[in-house]
Amino acid sequence: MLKSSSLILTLVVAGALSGYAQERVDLYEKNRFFEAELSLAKIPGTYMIIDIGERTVSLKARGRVLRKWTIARTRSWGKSVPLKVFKMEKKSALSQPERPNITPGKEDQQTRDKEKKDSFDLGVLELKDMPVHFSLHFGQNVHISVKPRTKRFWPTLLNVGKTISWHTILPLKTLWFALRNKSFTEIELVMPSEKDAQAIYWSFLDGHSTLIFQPSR
Amino acid sequence: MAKIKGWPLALIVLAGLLVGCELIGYGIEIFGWSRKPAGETGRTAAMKTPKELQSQNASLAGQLKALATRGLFIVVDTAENRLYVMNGEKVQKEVVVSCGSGDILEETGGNRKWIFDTPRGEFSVTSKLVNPTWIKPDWAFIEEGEKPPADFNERIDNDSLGAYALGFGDGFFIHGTLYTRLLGRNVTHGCVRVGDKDLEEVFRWVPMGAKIYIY
Repeated sequence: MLKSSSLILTLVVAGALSGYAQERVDLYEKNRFFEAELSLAKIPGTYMIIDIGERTVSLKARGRVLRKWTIARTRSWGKSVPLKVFKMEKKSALSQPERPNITPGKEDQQTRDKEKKDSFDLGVLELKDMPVHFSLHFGQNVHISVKPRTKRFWPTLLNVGKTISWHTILPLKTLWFALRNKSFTEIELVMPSEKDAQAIYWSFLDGHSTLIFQPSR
Repeated sequence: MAKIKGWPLALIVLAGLLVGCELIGYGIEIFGWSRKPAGETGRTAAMKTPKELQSQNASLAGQLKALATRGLFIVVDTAENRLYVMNGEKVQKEVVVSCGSGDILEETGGNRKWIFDTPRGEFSVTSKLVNPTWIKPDWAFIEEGEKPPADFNERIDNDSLGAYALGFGDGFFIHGTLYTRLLGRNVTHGCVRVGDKDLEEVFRWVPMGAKIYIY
């Protein structure tokens, strides 16, 4: 009886201590996150916050949210991202959107507008031209790949391909990096729709300051 | 039992190696490296009590809130072609606009090149003009296959910008348009075109120096 009581007491104390420690870690992480965001919010311009815990991507300026996207699902591989400001180095996609060229003389703006006002394709770069599958590359081997939830055939096929590569390429990449005593982080964001994925591609600019918050739980 | 020789054996060995590497990779991911980078949750966290951390977090959140733009300001979503007049966190007005086309214009036989994007970032209203005059830049002539004129008067255009214009630097304006049917599409040379009626309200509300956020 005494033995079982002391065992229960030990378990309760251990549970309470671990809860206390975890709470402190959570608060400390939040603390570091606020400090990092404060440093960004003091600078004029916009910045991005990818909050893996809350499953959101926010475009902010001066601490205020200008646009927020919800992430449907997320998963990660490799080391957790350090809580620091990253610069988005580049975006990559299977088919990058191309800027249309204007031919001088042929493209008088007024006639162009009049001629094309009823047609759908204006020969300009718009949100619908952005890719739905792409990767955002940050420094220190941190990569974020974005894909949408979709019912269309080709994007679904690409999603399947991405899932297969997640389970086959990443273990090999892990081994390759471990042999070179390096680490990497791969995060996958699944957006609720193709339009959301395209909006993320549109909104992220090269050199965009980004904070990736990946809480420990 | 038949012995496996030649290329089938090589294939089996290669497949075995691949599976082995995959398993080692999975092993490193699961057991090998710590999920948390060093120094993230170590001593510094241990030095403070949850209560101290909570009050520090509240103070940091307060500092962040204090930085937020107050009063009236403009937000432009270039992807959706929308302009929002904001009053703090409240949307005062939502307007359909036209933003930059992203097109490229290269001067034939010259070295100049223009990309017609609406600039993104943080700006301020630097000028408020009634019946604005557009001083046509070189690209406006080159695009039409003409030579930019030497005579300044030939660059004056009193019609294209509509009744009002809000300047936000480097020759970019939020202005009216003759092409209202193209509102909602990316067709401009970088300026933000607004329908005349909406523009009148935006012009009346937004003061000089008000912030403009474009993304």
